[in-house]
Amino acid sequence: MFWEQVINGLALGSIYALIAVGYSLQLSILRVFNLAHGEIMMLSTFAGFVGLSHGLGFALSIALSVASGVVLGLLLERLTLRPIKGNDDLAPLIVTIGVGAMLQSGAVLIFGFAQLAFPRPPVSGFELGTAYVTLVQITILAVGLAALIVLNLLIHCTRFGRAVRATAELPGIAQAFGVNVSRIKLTAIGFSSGMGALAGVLIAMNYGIVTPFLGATFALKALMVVIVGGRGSINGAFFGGLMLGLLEIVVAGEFMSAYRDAIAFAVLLAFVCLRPQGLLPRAHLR
Amino acid sequence: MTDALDVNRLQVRYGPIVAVDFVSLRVGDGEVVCLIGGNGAGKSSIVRAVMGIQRADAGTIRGPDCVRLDQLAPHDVCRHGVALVPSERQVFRDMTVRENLDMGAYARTDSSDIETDIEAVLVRFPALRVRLSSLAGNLSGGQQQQLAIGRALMARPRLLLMDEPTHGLSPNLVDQLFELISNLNSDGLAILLVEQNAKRALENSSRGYVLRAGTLVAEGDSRHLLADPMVSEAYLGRSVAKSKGRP
Amino acid sequence: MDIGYWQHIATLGGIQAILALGFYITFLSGQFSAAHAAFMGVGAYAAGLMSSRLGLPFPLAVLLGALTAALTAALLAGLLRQLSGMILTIATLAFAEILIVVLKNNATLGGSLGLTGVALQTTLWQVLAVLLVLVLAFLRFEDSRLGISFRAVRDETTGAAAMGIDLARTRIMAFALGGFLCGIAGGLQVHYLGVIEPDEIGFYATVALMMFVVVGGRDYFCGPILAAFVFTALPELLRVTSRGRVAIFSFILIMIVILKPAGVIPRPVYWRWRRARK
Repeated sequence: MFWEQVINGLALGSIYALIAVGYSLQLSILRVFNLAHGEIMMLSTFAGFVGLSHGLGFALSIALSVASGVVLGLLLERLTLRPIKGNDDLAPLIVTIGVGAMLQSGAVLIFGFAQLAFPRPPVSGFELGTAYVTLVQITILAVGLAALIVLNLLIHCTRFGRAVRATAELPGIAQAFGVNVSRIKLTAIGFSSGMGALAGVLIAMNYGIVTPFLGATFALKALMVVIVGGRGSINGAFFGGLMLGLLEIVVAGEFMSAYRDAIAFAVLLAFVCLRPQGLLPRAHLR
Repeated sequence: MTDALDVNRLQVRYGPIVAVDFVSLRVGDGEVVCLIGGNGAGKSSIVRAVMGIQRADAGTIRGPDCVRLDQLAPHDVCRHGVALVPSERQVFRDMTVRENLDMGAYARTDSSDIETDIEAVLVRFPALRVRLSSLAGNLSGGQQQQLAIGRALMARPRLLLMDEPTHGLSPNLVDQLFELISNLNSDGLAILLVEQNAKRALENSSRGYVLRAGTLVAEGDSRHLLADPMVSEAYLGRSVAKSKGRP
Repeated sequence: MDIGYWQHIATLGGIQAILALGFYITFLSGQFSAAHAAFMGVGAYAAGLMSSRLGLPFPLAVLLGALTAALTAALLAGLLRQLSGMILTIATLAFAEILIVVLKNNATLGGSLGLTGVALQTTLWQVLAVLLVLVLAFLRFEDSRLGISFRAVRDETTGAAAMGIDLARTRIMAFALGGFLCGIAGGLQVHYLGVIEPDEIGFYATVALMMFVVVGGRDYFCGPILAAFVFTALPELLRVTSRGRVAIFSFILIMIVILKPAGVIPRPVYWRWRRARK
């Protein structure tokens, strides 16, 4: 039973990790706390849901979902973030709050308040020692691990990764040496939104439900993970997400499950207040 | 032989404020030219306009191959022979020395020559060779200055744009810097030296431009400018006092 | 439509206007808080409890409710005193979420269905009277020492320190005052509708508040008041559902930030008005 909880915790943690890494990338490269990230994730999941309802297989629906995420992210950057570039620190945040609220209320208008059943893949799972592990959970863990490895390789070992790090640190200087900063930003938000969409679909398949409040539930906690893990640190965001998932399931799952969310927020809030700069205080993208 | 830089009647505005008011300047191929002036004179606006960071509201800017730099996308300027040594160094502190140099060559596609050029930079700046894998943020101010110049050299420029390179350097390092500038120049590199330290800048350049409140108030041969009473009163007296007062 | 309906809309609008002023006064100190709707909730729950369960008279209940909200706000501000900018906003968002979860799971306070059974006491004239007092207070506030210190804290902290202003205390004060006003609004609302639910003080309410201030203008207090009235009345008149309301509000918010960040009221109008006052 314990090991099953651990696996549940790791799966949930991988989800948080995927979302948190997306936030972290956007924060470092676009300098915005994108509070619409969760809602983009939610809408993309609904896109996958619509696909499944119309008979597209799992693979195609997931692809549709990821594609929707990418498109929504690109639109967000192009239509709302770029026009207000440079105005002030707060304007992008307000805009993303607005976009998030608009997307969420729009989804409620279209799909209603209720939780909709999200189809689960046919192959369910298997025994692993004393625990029962579902295919979806394996997928989540695999995707999370893959994302971690791929991102680290990309960022630290490639020319493109250097350009990304340079943009995160000194965009004007990076540009002076040939980096197309605008394209890097679009790539960053497209990639992170796509990753978020994938996380959303995995959530829906794992719990079997999808609601317009999917984003609100997961995304705010993942955002705080980024703050605690140290803004700019991809790995900090990733492992912070894993920790949060484990803590939520293994520790708080034992008691007061209704208050689990409140406890998670309270712990994160305490961290933020005690160490505003985060646990791994790297200023820029690592 | 074309000019390395030809700025013609440049105007830069920030809203209603005119920061650069129809300034024209030239840097000949292989020349060292200085642009001096006090704070807020508009020097950095000119640098930003050349690099494409700031839009030119009027006028033209031509680079080493006669291409209109002001019509390029900002990230393409370095592909046309102009490299920047930014004010206050601005090295990528979270990247290693090697990665900083790689970034200088980012716009280039000739990978084998890049290795050769890195070697050349390390020969020129031995202090960097030892610290090749160190993070640039851990370097001293003088070493970061060398790295910033090395990074710019990696772009194989015909024109080097140096924005207040003496800022924050000890007198010793300032001497080394001007020796370096002279070396680079004898290798054929044209240099536009933007400086507040007017005396040293004029002493180490062939021609100079003096900028005040967005307009040129003097230009010409550097030796003549050094001797010019208006220039020495306004800029040399003040700058001498400054370098004495520096800790 | 009879006069009663107009009175209803005006009362709702007035309560929202008081709420907007509460958000606005904290915003004057440069702190963009997502917790003010939660403060309203604290005021509403406290006032509602005190009048319906403890039998306190209506004005006292509202006042004590507002003081509770002010205290909550001050405590939160103290906790967050090292934060600023985007992080501060997100931290206040987290606090609001915590509060809502706690409220939803607390059976004594009615859980998800909220606190019910509160006597209907609020009248339009009371709301307008409170608003009038606030307007007069704000007129004097702008040039008062407190008002100047708020703006100094907002505009850049180094200058403020030189002026001898205690940064942390001013910021806590800004939250406390904002919390107090939001608490008043909450107390008035719970005694107008007879109920307060956790969902009413959540994210959507916060977005509406932000919209009032952004549309009404960041620099003059009458803008948010006007925006609050307009954007409470219009949806009612046009029979827009609450979800549709949020969608429209957030869309307007985005548009204004992108197109007209200074707000809708043109600046020349404001400055002429200010000069006329002097």
